[in-house]
Amino acid sequence: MGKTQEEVRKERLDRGIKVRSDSVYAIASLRDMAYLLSPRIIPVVAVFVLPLVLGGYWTKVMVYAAVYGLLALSWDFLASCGLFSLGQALFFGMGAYLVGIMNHYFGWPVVVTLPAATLCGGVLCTLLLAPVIRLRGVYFAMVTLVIPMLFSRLIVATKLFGGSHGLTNLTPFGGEWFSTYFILISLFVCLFALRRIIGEDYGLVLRAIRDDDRAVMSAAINIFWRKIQALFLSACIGCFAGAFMCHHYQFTGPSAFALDYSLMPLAATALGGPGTFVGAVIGSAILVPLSEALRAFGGLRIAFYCVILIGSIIVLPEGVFHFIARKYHQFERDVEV
Amino acid sequence: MEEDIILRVERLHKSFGGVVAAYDISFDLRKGEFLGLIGPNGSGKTTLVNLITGFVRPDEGRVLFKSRDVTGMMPYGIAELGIARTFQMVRMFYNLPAYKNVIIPLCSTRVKRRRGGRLGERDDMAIELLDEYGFERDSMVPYKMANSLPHGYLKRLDLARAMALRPEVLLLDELFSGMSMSEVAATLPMLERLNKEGVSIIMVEHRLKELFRVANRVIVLNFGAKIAEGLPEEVMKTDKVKAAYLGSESTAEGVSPAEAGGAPGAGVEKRSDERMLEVRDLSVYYENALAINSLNLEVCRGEMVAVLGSNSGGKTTLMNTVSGLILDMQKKARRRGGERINVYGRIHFRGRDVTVMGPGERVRMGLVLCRERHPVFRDSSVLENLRIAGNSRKGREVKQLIESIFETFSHLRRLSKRRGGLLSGGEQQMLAIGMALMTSPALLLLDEPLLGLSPMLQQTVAGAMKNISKRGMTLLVAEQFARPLLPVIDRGYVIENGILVLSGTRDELEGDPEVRASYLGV
Repeated sequence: MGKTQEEVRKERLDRGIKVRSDSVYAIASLRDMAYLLSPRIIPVVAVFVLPLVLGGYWTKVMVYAAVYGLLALSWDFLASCGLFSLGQALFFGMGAYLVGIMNHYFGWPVVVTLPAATLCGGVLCTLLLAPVIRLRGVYFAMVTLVIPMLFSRLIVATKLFGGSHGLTNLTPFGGEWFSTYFILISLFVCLFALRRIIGEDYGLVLRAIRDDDRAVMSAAINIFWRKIQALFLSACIGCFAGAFMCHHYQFTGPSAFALDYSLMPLAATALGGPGTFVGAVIGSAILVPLSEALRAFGGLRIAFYCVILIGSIIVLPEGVFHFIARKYHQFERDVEV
Repeated sequence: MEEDIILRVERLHKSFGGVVAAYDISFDLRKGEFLGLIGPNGSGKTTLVNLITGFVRPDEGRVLFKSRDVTGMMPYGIAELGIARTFQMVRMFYNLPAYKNVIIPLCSTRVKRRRGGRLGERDDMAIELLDEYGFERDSMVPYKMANSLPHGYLKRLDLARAMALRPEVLLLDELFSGMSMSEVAATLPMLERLNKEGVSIIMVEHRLKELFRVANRVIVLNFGAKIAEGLPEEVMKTDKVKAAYLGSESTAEGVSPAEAGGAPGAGVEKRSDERMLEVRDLSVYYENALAINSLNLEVCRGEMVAVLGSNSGGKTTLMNTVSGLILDMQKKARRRGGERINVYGRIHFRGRDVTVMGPGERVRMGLVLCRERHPVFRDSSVLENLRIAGNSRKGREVKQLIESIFETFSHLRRLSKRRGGLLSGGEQQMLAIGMALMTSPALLLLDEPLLGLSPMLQQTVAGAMKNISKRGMTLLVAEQFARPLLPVIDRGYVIENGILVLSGTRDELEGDPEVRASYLGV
């Protein structure tokens, strides 16, 4: 760095095809269409084909990765309006226990419990966190970190809902294939829906709140109401992930409130590139299989895992997605001065 | 008569931790009126704007909008009723393109109610609105990211964002601060037009000449209290106002005048021929745009040199390059994939080539920059701020340095226990310069030290710079306000669009017709 007497300098330019295809009117050729669509369609198709190729074990890992992907999406959406949460486990556990209760005590079928747990969970979590929504930054993070711990201790101590044994023998979700494709499709629906929302004017207001909430207030927008809406949506996604997982394993226990479910989505988003949603999914798709692959190392698994995570964040602080997107859209060349 | 009054302020009172920011303020704003709000730095003007718009809750008193009590309402509720504002320190959504900034207020229920904003329409509305405020529809400007826009554009963007609400009352908090003369000249007619269209305006401003051209009535604040009210010309004649605002009182209010402190000859003999700083063929590119074009500049020991130029002329880039901050920006840009910065040319400091030296090392060599609107530590007192800045010095040295800073800025001594966040804009500026002085630099770089100061404070801060220079320090000052600065400098450079257009001694610059026209407004 700092070599100022270089005779050449690096120049970074958008590829012509990007400039053309950014504007809808200019899409003239199949090549332009392919340029726009292939980065969206190819990964989706690849993910849908993978379970057919992979064995049963790695398909299970994919389901797991998809669930974490949903949690990471939920985190990223909340962060996009300036609410940094350390408690995705609250959403996950809430969804899991609601399903557990509905299925175990009332015997409701999956068709009812899944949507009911998603919506009720969303409402309950929003009500729980609404009082602290005025807190900013680290205070909000602290409260969200503590609440899931509170729930897990309460359940263990009071022996409520099966105490530390949890609720077992829940209705299975359906066949292996069905649940795999169901969660994958849900993940992509969430991903594209959130990207759509954040691109609309509605999402624009949320991003502006993260930038400067006072300026948004001076634009006559009730920032607390907007934050509550975002919180609800994010909580619904998290609860859905928890509810699905609960049926998938036919079990709910206090471990649904575990710290893993709070930290892993955060790590995945940081690795993949925050603020894009795609980054959150890519991050989960890297981290979850990685942590499985490292099982061979036995006790040192977590240590290796942490080193890889730290290393990748130092090398690519912008996130994997931003890096790939830049390489795809721009090229660099040396220019004579 | 009562129906004419659109906004009524009744006995507002507010204090922050013992500092009275508003003391028993009452006034009425009539429909269609253009009210000027003036006063020295720290007199409570911004606090009054915050009290009216709900960003700060008053301890006592009421604010009535169209006879409706709005005291204690949230800022968005008040904005919803039709009271819009701009911010003294621009608060834009920097990660959004300019026109998207204007879409935010267009999403409010106030605008929705008025014209059922359908999808996609808002983009057009925003572009159209920005076109009225100097963001040409057919240029790239409305689509640029807000963080890449120059200050003057951001100020107008803030105005456009406020006007997107179609407010009935508009509060402008130092809209003109940091704008160049031509930008002010372009903005004034916009305000006049708005006022004619029926918007009642309260304008906080230091640029009195421009304000008096448009204001119907003026209120003068000092120490949080209203000290005068009336027609602009009449108000300025009252003794109280003269004393508070326009000069003579510099000893009482701000900094000791230029004559006090270092008597002539007390410091080092001025103007040796030893070259302190030498900049050769400096060019800086942001991505592919040229910010500075093969610039040559030198500063000799003991000199005070000014770099004059309008906004976005390349002054800040020059200061960042000389201080080495640009290397950090470069590194960050490389890692985060931001705008790529390229620097060519050589910088010599005290005979050593520092072109590739990091900013920290340059500070250790005595090359210190006080940035534009340099931040102070808001939660630490003035004294603590100075101590923090001098943490690399020994205990006794720190005491001496602080003492000499308090001598230069006598005002700071009285505020030494006050928290940085409670200081007014001008006081913070003085503290920031003081903090730079704590490193006892050999060459002090000041980037826009006069930005946002009242004319009187500009004079006193310029006087203080003269004092510092008399004590043997070398100064390089980037500024757009030539009027207060020219009398105190030795030499100056004028840069425009990154190109050096003029250089010379003070007298040469003062005599130059171009400088007189564009910087002195003669």
